Amino acid sequence: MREVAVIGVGSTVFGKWKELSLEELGRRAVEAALEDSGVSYDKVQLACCANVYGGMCLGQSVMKEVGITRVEMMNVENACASGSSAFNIVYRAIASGECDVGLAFGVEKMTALGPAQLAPPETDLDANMGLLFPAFFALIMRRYLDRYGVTMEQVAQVAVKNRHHGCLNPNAQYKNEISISDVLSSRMIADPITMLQCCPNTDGAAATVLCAADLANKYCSKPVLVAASVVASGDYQWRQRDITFSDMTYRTAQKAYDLAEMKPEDIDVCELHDAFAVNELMHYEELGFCDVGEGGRFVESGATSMGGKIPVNVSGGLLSKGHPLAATGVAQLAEIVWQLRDEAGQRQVKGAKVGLAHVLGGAVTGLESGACTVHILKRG
Amino acid sequence: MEKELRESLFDKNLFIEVDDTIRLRGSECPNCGRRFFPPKVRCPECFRASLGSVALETKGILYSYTTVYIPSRNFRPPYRVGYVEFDKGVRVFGQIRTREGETLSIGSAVKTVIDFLWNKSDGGRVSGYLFEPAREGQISGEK
Repeated sequence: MREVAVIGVGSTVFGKWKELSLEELGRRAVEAALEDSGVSYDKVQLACCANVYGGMCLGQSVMKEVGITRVEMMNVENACASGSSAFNIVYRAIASGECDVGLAFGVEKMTALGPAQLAPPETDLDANMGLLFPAFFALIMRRYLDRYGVTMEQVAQVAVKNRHHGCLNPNAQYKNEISISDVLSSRMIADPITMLQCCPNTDGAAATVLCAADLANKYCSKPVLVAASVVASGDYQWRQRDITFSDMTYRTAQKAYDLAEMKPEDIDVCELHDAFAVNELMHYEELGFCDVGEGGRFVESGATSMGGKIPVNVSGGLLSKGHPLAATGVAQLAEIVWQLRDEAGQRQVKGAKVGLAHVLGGAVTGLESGACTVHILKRG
Repeated sequence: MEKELRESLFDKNLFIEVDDTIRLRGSECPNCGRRFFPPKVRCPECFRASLGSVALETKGILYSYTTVYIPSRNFRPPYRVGYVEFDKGVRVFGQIRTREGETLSIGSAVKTVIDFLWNKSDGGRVSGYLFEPAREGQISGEK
């Protein structure tokens, strides 16, 4: 397997883009990434498009607007992990030597679905019984608070922190500060999850250009290397175990650390799946940043804020940046690349050399989740 | 009423008749002994095929719960849902029907009830399973 580099990234501003089509959002992100990479349009050999709700062959539809046609194109759906799964496919195609230059992008328009329409498919048993995502995570959260004595204030601290980070990100949907009492007094969604503990409905697109590492210097001066790219699926027996620990995230991260020959202590900056505030606390534990049950105290200590030991979701995370499903995983990777290139502006983590991105996505009756991805990137 | 309930079950594969009452139908692996709900044809742990049917007991323990304030496909808010744990660690997600002012707690006893759940757009009613607190003074297994 060859080493693979990320040589270009791009993203639209995340927000409500009712007047823009999926094709236009996608085109803007792809063109930004191609321009950033220095690769000419005729060098792209593979394009992989991630999308959940847009319909048939969206990738080709976006790419014809970019002007690239005829090359190999794939459309990928893996719920919230669609974007990072598309990245994994392009990574593998280049690592194996099948092609030298590829494009992975994600695009989604959540506003086209209307409010609170994000739900598992109609054929799903639990979805019919009323299992919306906030309800699913509320059930987990109640057990987690009960088991470890984590406080509501500690959970709210995640939203306060990520909203603060979002203020520093021009691409974020929300750019205003909130307080712990704002979070706790916001409208109840699924007890104990309130509105400001939930990520918003968002439109947006993000793109990355990958290439064989030995060719990277030809195109760009600051290539970022892919140290690990891992995709895993959920376990059917998870629901019969302790639901306060995402075994899927743990397994996926362990494999990524092994491939990268790194430990959690080696990570300088992390983007993780904070679809709901409590998720972030649990993921600290599963990714190995703190001990099991310590997530609440860890966020309270400031360890995951800007300037802390391991800054988490400096982009604002899903809670601030927003969550256009299939674009999310790609946008996380774009953020890590900006951080490792020292180009993240006000939200730059000083001297960041290694970054980790984590996504968890999809509800299927009986499974913890559909797909989990962990990527580790490092400075070239 | 019983006849109408039986005829409007939303997925007959999920139910089994025991002594003239409708119970939840799980499946059990004859090889590794694991039990599942909804029932599965093949065991996801040891890959054994043709799993046998097993009727879940009517009483379970509330594993977690929440009150939801946003609409879902078939339910208008507010409504309560939870995971109920049965023998061999089987956990079933469903609606929890409580009375006005009744509180829930982790580890409390609940019972399975077969009743109407929602109305279809054509006006027909759909029945299935839901859970209720096993209240003191009630005879277990009633209904």
